[in-house]
Amino acid sequence: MSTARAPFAPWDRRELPGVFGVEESARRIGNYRWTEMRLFEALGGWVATIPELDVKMVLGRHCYHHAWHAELWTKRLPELREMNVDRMTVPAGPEFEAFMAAVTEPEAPELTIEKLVGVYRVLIPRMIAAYTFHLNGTSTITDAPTIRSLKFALQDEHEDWRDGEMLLQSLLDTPENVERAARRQSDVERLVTVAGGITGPGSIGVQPVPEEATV
Amino acid sequence: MKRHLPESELARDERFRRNKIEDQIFDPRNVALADRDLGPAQMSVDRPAVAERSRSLMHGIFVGEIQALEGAGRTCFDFDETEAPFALKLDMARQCWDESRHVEISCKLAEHMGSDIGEYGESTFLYAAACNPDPVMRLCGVNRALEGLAIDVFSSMKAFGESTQDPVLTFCEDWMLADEVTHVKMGSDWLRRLTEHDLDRRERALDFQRTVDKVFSLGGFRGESEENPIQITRRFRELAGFSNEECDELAQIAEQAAADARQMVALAHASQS
Amino acid sequence: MGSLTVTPDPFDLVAFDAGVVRALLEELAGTLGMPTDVDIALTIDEAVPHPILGTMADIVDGKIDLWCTGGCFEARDRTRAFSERHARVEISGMLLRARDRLSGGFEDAPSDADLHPGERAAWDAYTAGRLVDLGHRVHHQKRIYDFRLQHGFTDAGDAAFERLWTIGSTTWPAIQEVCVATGAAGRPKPKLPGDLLRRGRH
Repeated sequence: MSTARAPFAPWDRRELPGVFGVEESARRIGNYRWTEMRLFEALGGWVATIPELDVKMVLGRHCYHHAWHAELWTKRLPELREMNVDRMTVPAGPEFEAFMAAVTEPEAPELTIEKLVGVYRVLIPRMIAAYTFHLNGTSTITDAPTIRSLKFALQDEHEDWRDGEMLLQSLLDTPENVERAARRQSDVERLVTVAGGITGPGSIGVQPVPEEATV
Repeated sequence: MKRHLPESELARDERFRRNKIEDQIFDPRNVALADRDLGPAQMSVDRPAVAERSRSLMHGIFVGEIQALEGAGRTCFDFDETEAPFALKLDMARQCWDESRHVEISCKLAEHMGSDIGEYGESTFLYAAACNPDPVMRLCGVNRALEGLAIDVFSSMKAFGESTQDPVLTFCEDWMLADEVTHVKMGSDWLRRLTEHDLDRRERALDFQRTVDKVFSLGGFRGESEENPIQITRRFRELAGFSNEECDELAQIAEQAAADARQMVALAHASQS
Repeated sequence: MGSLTVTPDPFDLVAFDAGVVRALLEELAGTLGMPTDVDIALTIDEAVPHPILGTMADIVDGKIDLWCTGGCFEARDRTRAFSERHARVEISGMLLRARDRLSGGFEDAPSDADLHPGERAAWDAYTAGRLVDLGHRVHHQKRIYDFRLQHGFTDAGDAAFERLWTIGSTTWPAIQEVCVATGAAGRPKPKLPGDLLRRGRH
């Protein structure tokens, strides 16, 4: 009887199939890269426009997180046969581009709440959702490098989400400020809903149902 | 959000007060002080008013770090990828993180030394002098001039911490010094890469850096003699990519700045008599 | 009644009012129970700005001789502007030390110019604690940092500071003992004179 060990240890339950092929993984990663880049640029640009010292410092730290995520995606794309990284670094569509423009639009020093709500109550939760869907759906064997990068990115996204949420909670100290935050969230959430999410329709696997399917 | 935020729009909470650089330059007491012996310029425990002078300097460092954070952050936003490649902006984002940490460290040092945020006025000439709409000039202004000044300042403060056996100051300044060497090196490396095929642009950028260096050496603040509170730190500058010739040039710029200040005082004396 | 004089009058280089300063001096001298038959002269060296802070309090020919840099009264965030809050604290501190010299157990203390920095730092810590008892806002961390520079960043030094801060009443020999205990007395004699700022010119 052979004593050679099986290629997968008994506790290694990873399976081959995944929801995404090479092209689809690359498409999504291109969208991620575009989003992370716009986000880190905005966070960096906002630092000088925000008077609250603790918020300034947190955004300075988070700026690097998202730039580094963009760098992870920069390295991954050529590995997915996309040698022209810039070609894939695009928004999921014009609606998503409009959404990001709305998120990054506030500038005045008194708009800290608006800046944070757009990022920490709408954009980053959507990024966590898209990354998680990709992580859970892609092949744990063939797309392991993407999974590794997604896990690194998700760790930052979760911590940054918590940081941003806590800053917001500390700033929403009056009914008026709560109202401002709710209005801003509603305005921005509407836009990303129209866009379908970070990677467009199907960002987290929920596709719009075509009309003919109801017949 | 617009690109290239002017210095006048830097956002601050109500604790901060903006100093005008002209108030300092044209302070009538400067003439009276020219002949006075106020003790050694360098930080030492023997120096008259050593505690308050070090607190004031530390607060100046603190607001300087805020401006460095803001400068690095603006560089991430102000330039698109045709003007500044992604890899450069990634380095600037990293610098954002580092400067954010330095602000945190400076806040803790201020607590250690007993000063409060906003206790002293803020001059924003660091941000104003260093930031430039051309990314190569910006690199020279921020990463070589401003961060180069930071190397000199942190090295001087570290030496002060060692001389006073202050473990907190020594520890903090050494960590920040390590980061600043990285930032200057980033600036030196990117300057070389971005101007590899445009030596004329490189020379213009270095000219801009010399101008900014002169501003930062104002009144003899920095130099290599005992008269200068902040010492040019050749060893760390060389680690960061400055050549010996560049350090010599900086020392000359600093000497010239001090001579200009002495001349201004002499002229003011002459006009009074 | 002893005279109270403020020099310069008027101020030339800073936006201080000699009358305001004199009124403060009179008020605080009264609050602290300074002897009314002793002259008090306060000289402010208006050329020396913040952050170059220095004060001196001596008894010269039976008169209270106070000196400070203009920086002591200067607003921290507005160049050349007067800060009444800082002036109150500094004048009170100088008067307390002058009172110490007259009858407060410091009659044998050397003049301020001849004090060792550790001795001066210890006396200042004792003074700062009394200023707090008088209701002035005195920054504890600032004062302990000042003390640590001369007495070391050690637990023993910090404990010595806290004793001086809270003691309420002490003497010159006790100050000297503190300096021995913390090691400040063993530090090299400073190369610069203690009244360097007051001496003025090169």
